[in-house]
Amino acid sequence: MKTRRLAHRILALALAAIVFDLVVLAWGETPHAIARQILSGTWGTPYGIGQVLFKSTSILVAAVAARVALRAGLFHIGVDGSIAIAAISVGAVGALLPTGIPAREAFPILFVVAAAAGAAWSLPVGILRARFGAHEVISGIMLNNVAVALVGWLLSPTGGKLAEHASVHTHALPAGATLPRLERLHFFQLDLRALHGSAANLALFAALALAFGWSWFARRTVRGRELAAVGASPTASNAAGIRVGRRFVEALVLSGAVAGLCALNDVMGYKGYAEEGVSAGVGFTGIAAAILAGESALGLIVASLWFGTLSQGGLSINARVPMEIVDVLDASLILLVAVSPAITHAIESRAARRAA
Amino acid sequence: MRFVALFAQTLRIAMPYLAAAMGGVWSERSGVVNVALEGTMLVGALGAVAGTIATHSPWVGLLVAIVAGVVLQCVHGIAVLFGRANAIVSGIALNLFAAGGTRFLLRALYDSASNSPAIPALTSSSGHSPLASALLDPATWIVLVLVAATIVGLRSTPFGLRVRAAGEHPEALASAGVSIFTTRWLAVVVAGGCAGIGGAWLAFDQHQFSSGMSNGRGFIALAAVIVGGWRPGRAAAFCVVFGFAEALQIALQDRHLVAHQIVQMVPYLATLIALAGLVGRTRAPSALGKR
Repeated sequence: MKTRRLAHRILALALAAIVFDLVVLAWGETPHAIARQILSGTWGTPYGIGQVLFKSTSILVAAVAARVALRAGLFHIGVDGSIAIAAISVGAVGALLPTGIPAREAFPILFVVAAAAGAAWSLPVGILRARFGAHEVISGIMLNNVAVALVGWLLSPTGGKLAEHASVHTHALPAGATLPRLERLHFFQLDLRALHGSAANLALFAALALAFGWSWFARRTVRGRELAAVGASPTASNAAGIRVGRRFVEALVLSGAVAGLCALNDVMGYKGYAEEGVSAGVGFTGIAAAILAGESALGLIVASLWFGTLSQGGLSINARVPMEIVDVLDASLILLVAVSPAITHAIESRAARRAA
Repeated sequence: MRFVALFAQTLRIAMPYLAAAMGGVWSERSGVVNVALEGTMLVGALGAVAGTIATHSPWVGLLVAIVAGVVLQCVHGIAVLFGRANAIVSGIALNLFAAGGTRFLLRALYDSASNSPAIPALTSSSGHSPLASALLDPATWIVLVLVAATIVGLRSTPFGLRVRAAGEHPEALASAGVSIFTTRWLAVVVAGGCAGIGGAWLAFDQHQFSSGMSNGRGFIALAAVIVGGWRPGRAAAFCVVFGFAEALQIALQDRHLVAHQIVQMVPYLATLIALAGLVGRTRAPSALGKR
């Protein structure tokens, strides 16, 4: 079963590569050269690697968030809204912390703020789904739009007044509330100074822990199994005595809480303050990664690295081919993975007929 | 007079919602979940602009918009009906495809990352009042005919009956000797044409294509379908309500009574409230999203 799922993904990847090649050829470039440029712009230099790791960190957190909801059969499109609200909350609360605050105090506070803000923002989606049967995709999209407007209002000088005077971002976090960049670290013999200039930071390890933690929770705990049961069949779960509506709310709120942790990477690790659109679009990419990844931590990590690589790689080819080609490639891949079981099934049944 | 202007504005804003929502009704009543309306509007808008610029005829542009919408929805149909893909996954992928693909084409065709050159409307209506120009615009009438055709077509034509059967009792349809696949397929194609027209309306209204210009309208149209209980007349009514909410937003913005970011939330909050208040009282087609 596992090898079969892998085969589906390889088939989808091969077909998506053909789509990519055709688009590049239509633009008048050679696919080989463009693919090489994507690789050299990402995994070719220490800075590129650092940037890929930085982008993949937020994507991984968002992917875990989306996965939490997917486990219960829900498409939590609202992760982007939770991320935006968590980012502005961390920025606002972080700026209030005293300048000399040590990391061991600042970090837990902001961690809780990020998770709580993300969770709170996804609560309406959960209630609308569980109580009113409103589809989470629609309510999630609406709340994302509300979040964008709300963040804009909170930062505006006539609204929430959170922005520093004559700027578009919040006051800077105190040093103790920021996460150090990887370039400043030494692991035994490993010298990471080469990553200089890239935004990769300690949140990377938090994201990895989150992926493994979720994978363990989903597979090894009763609650995780129940979520899967609810996702597979709400009616059967209801008959088995699982409170389906409550599980829906829990899954969406937990998903929002996880999504909020993107603020660790983007606000505490990279910017050091919150601003409009600080992690814009990360949630959507995370959902795409979660769809491709399946349930394992490794799958989530690989899918996040893939999207991180392409989003950084898109920048490196933009002068030759519009970077939107990366979106086209990603979209083709998601679609092809979704239909690949049917394709392999068709191929197999044709082969079986021929053999008969 | 101010009331008339508000009415004209409501009409203008509601048009793309109406077209896309009618597409959503056809698709979802046949049993195919359609979150790809958003991307379909986007390719329709670019199609309208590209066709108009290439041939100097907005009517050709409208045709290209319909074709572009149909093609995108055909992919949705292939993925969902033949490829057995989850319809929401397919919709998410196609929306991403449309967002990236239209920006890519924008650079390919017009060497711009943000917007196309200007195009004329279907007919020039300068010098008229807003209401008169809206009523004189053939695009308005195309959309209104689309709404009427959906209401009547779904209720009283053989095709409408088949679409409803495909969404409610597919087995009954199959045992009557009608292909479920073909029926749903045709419904999705119709949805593509409708949403394509909705996108074209946006492009003609703003006299250009700009990247991401559908700006969530496809989703609001789908929300209108849902809160309208999948009935075309009610869905259309909700589109007009959303249009009114937005028109009110623009009117309030001009008067600086409330911060524009707060006003900006109005249509989305209205949708959320409508979802909370009305969804429980409606019933989805029983085979929606099922194979």
